[in-house]
Amino acid sequence: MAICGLPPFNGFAGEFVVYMGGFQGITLDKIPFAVSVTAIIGLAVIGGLALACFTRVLGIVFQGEPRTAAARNKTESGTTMLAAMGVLAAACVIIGVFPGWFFNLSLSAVGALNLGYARIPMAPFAQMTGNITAAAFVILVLVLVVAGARSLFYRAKPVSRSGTWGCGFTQPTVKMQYTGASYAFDIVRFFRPAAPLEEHHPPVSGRFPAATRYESRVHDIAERCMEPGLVRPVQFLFDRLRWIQHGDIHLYIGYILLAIVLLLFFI
Amino acid sequence: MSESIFLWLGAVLTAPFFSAVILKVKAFFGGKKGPPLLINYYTLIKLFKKGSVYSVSTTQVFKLGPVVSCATALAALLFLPIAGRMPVISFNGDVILVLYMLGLGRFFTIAAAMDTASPFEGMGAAREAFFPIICEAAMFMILIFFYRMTGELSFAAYFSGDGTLALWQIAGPSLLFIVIAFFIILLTENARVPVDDPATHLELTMIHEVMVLDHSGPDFALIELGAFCKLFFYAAILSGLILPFESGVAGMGMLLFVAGLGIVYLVVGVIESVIARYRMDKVPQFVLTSFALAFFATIITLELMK
Repeated sequence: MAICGLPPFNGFAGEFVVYMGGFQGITLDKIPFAVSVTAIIGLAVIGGLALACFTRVLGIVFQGEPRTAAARNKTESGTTMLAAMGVLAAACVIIGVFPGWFFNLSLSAVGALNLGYARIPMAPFAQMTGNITAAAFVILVLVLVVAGARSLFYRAKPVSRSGTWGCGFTQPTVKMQYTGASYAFDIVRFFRPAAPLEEHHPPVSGRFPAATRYESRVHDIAERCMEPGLVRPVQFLFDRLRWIQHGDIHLYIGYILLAIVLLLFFI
Repeated sequence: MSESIFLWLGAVLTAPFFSAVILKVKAFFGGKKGPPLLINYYTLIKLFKKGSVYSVSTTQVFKLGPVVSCATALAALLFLPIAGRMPVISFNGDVILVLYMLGLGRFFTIAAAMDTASPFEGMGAAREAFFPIICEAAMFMILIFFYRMTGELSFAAYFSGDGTLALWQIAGPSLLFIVIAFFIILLTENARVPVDDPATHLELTMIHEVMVLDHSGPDFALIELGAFCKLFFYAAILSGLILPFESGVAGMGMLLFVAGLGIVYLVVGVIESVIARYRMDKVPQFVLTSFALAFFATIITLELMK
């Protein structure tokens, strides 16, 4: 949740400040304006993508019915492991609710770099972080109020447990659950230019079709472009120079001698 | 302050009524009498009286979903200037906070849906995660427009006092684009036709409804209340945009605000009656239209501000 930049967690505090900075650029002209617009829209889209991405992680990894035998037989980790995670989670909440202290810490850190950041006025930050803290408390109070009302409504009410609604299908299996690939499919298809999708799916034919399969893979665009453009030529070049590294220790000492003699000319 | 809190309470209490207007309009187009205007209150009371059935697959996250989604919708209304009055809370940058707060509600709705292990709810969750990505981009484009015009980042600066009227005088045509763009966002975010059909009975074609299939009783009532409030929130912003007139007569501002709300809900109802839901793969194009409109509106204002 924190990594999606949602309030009241630390990700939001940071994102809020970045947005405020971005919007300052909107009042400018031409190039700074275009850059600010790109930054804000980029941040907004990334925020949405992060939400999609991390609900997917949460939903597929931690929720629903166990998808594999290994997951079915898992047990909870020990207290010390949980405590370590708990400390980190608590840090996310504390920084999210009281970002003021932490902004001051980081500002004094960049101030020490002598890059001119020490002149940043602190007043707007104090105001912003105060607002974030207030908003976090509003959310917290409302969640508690609604949760309280909910428990009031559930007092002395029949609550039972049953299977998940399956649209009348009587034989659900865990394999019918949404997978990571199916969850992300629409988004990946929309962002095709940035995330090339490759699918293998032998077509079904005949009256009694044989078993078929489906396989999809999303390629990393950086990997795809860099491999032929950068990695291959570099590899080719270094392949040609491989003869220098031959394993003969006498000649290696010769290289060192040669290097020292060459360096003597520069003194 | 106390006036703002009363207005907030009024908004929460009347939100279900306005949603019933849509049903009434749809019934009119279908040649039916339709449900009474208080139908949503009856539904809420009925749901609050019931108990619940939970799926054996679910955990505590499932119970947290309705609570957080309702609480965030209520919190969003706190930042909304109603009838041109100051909201309960307001600060520079509250627009960003509200957008992300609604994101928090969405996160929990999706998490609750994924908790049920149902393939249908996973499908709805995937769509719910997808369309708001484009919506958010459009929303921030609109925000850039408003910031460019007013230099402020809070709802109060946009919609309280006579700020909106001045905006119409400076940049009327672009604001018209913004109104249409925002209306598209309203339809998408609140799962209305032509993005989603709230009245459909087929799980495969739903977005919001399918995600809450497994909720029942008071939990479902909280979800419904949150959905009413969220729609009210968007409709109130549109109402402030289309009828921004201030008047000295007491109660006139409120009357205009309610009239604006009525118009927005009426138009939603008419749209729902006359067109069908788009095919799922056409929806992104529809939502992108709002981004394009907001983008052009901003480009036009660049000329105006010189």
